[in-house]
Amino acid sequence: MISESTTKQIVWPDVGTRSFLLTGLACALVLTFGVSLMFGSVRIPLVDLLKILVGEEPARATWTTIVFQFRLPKATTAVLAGSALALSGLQMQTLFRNPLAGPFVLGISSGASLGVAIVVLSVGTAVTGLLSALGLLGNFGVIIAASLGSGLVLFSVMAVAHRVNNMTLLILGLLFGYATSALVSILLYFSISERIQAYIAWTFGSFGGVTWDQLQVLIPAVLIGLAIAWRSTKALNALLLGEQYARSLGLTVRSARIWILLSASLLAGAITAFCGPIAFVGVAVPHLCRSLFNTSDHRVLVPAVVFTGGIAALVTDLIAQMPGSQTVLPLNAVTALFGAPIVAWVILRRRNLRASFGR
Amino acid sequence: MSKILLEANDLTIGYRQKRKSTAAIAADLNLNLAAGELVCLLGANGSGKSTLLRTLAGMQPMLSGRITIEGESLAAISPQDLAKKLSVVLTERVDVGLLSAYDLVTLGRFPYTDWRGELTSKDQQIVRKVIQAVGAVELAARPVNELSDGERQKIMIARALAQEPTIMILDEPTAFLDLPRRVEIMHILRKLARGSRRAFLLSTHDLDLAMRTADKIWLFSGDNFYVGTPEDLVLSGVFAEAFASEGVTFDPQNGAFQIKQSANEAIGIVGSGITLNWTIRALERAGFNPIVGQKDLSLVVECADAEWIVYDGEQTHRADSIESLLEVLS
Repeated sequence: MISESTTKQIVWPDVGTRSFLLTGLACALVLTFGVSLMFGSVRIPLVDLLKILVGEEPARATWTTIVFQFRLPKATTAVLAGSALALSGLQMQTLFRNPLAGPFVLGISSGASLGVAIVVLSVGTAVTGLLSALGLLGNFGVIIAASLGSGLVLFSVMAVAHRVNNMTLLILGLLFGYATSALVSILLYFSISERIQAYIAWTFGSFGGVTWDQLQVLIPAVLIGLAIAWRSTKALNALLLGEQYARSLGLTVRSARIWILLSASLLAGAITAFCGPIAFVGVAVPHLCRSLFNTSDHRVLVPAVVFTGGIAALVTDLIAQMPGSQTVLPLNAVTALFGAPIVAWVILRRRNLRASFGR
Repeated sequence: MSKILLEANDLTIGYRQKRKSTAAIAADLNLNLAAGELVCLLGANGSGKSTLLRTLAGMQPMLSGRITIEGESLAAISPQDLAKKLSVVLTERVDVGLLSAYDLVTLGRFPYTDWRGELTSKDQQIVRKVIQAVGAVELAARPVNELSDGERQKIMIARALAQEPTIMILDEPTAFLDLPRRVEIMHILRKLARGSRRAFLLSTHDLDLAMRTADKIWLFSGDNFYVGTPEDLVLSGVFAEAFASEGVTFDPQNGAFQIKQSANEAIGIVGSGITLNWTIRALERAGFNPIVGQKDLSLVVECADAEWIVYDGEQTHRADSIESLLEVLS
């Protein structure tokens, strides 16, 4: 008997890692980066921008300062922040098998906000003489406080992670969030309005305050987080099957989980320390990428969210700047206000979000 | 004698509880799996089927005893190496999100791929081969979350096969499936096992299907554990005994299971062929105890082609279908 399959050519599905689309995304990222250098309170023509970047003299000398002192560090920060938060969110969503998970589910931003609240609110009022000194330290003091806050949360998460299961970890993160916001409320209640304003301003998030010196800390932190996530690609894919199957495939679930948590927390913590609690990007970008690429394969998703996160952060920052005007909108308002409809549109159009978590 | 792939000696399975006390579910089991064999594990819910499977798969520690896989102690095999020798299909439903059936099967290559999980052309070949082996070629491009339960199970079996194991352990692979799908899955497993270098161990509640498919049956019954070919277990009376306590009677004549009903009224039955067989079944279902060839009883049914005559003492009734026969008798 000659079976039909020997005569009929079987068409096997393409399992390529969609390199064409990924290359497109990378190009889009470079393009957006260039555009973000051109626009702001002053518009710099493309020709002059290219001159500045290759070290030549542009039409106006101040443009060089604007690009190197302000726009380049800010755009770099935006790319780092968007990529880091999206990658952190992706890892958390896969690890916890929860579409609502994001970079901050374990309380990283709560820890940072508590640190910042303590510095900005209590020190400010208690020691009035320090106010000026704080103004001088200003930005840097806030970064130190936020780093300590998110760092503390990171270490507590790592300390308990191997003893409790994922659901317990999520609930602990939630409880920690409530506790810190309670403490912050108390601090706010007893603070003077200028300090409260300063704290609120921090919660809006910003890519603008990061200097070249600070980038020397932020860049390595993000790169380490990225490298660990890159290394976890295979484990993340195995975890799609659930822990039992992952283990039966030979994955050491315990250590894979620790590395994923470390990467996700490091990425989220570093960005929150330097830019404030940037909401939305970390939760939405992974969904956007799953929907666009129509896959849950992390070999595709990890690079995809890095590029898309970077683009998303650059675009939102560009909108927040309101090019041509002196007004700057709060970053967090823009991410959600402009991002939510776009993501909703993509997801509703593709109709595969529900499927992406199988519920 | 084919090669023994898995062997367990004096195995005690169960759970370790707090304060070092243990809850043994079954003790002193001696088992083996040979290449090419399909073994069905039977037993009531809670009898320890899953615990035994999980223990043999290295997913749960044994309480005492010794398990060897291809001569090597299970405890001494690293998880990475074990994944190349043994694969599982579990009862839990997987939510892999947006993956095609093909993608899901490729995850079975996990123990063999590099750190990124990239597939070599050899990996691709094996993935295609196992998809063909389970007859799921037309499912390959479809998203997993759109597959029916039966299709999904085929893909999960293909995924487990992609690990190229010598032992495959399946926990109730036919649960939640309709009868044709159950038969199909068992048929696929039967085909995969026969003449291969692999052994298949699966738990099931499908007694009938297990008896027709399995080379050997492992049977949990009360505190006892029996091993043998289905036919030996029937002939030695183990089956009948095992199920008597479950409120089910097993008829060794035709291998059928029946629900035991109390105080059955004896009824004589005369006839032949297919009509006789199905009339017996109908009478049993209606709560009678049919005795073939017995004409001396107060109630006797005589069946011919599409006609039934009931002798009820002095009275005689005729029926032209089983339905009307049962109406007459009620």
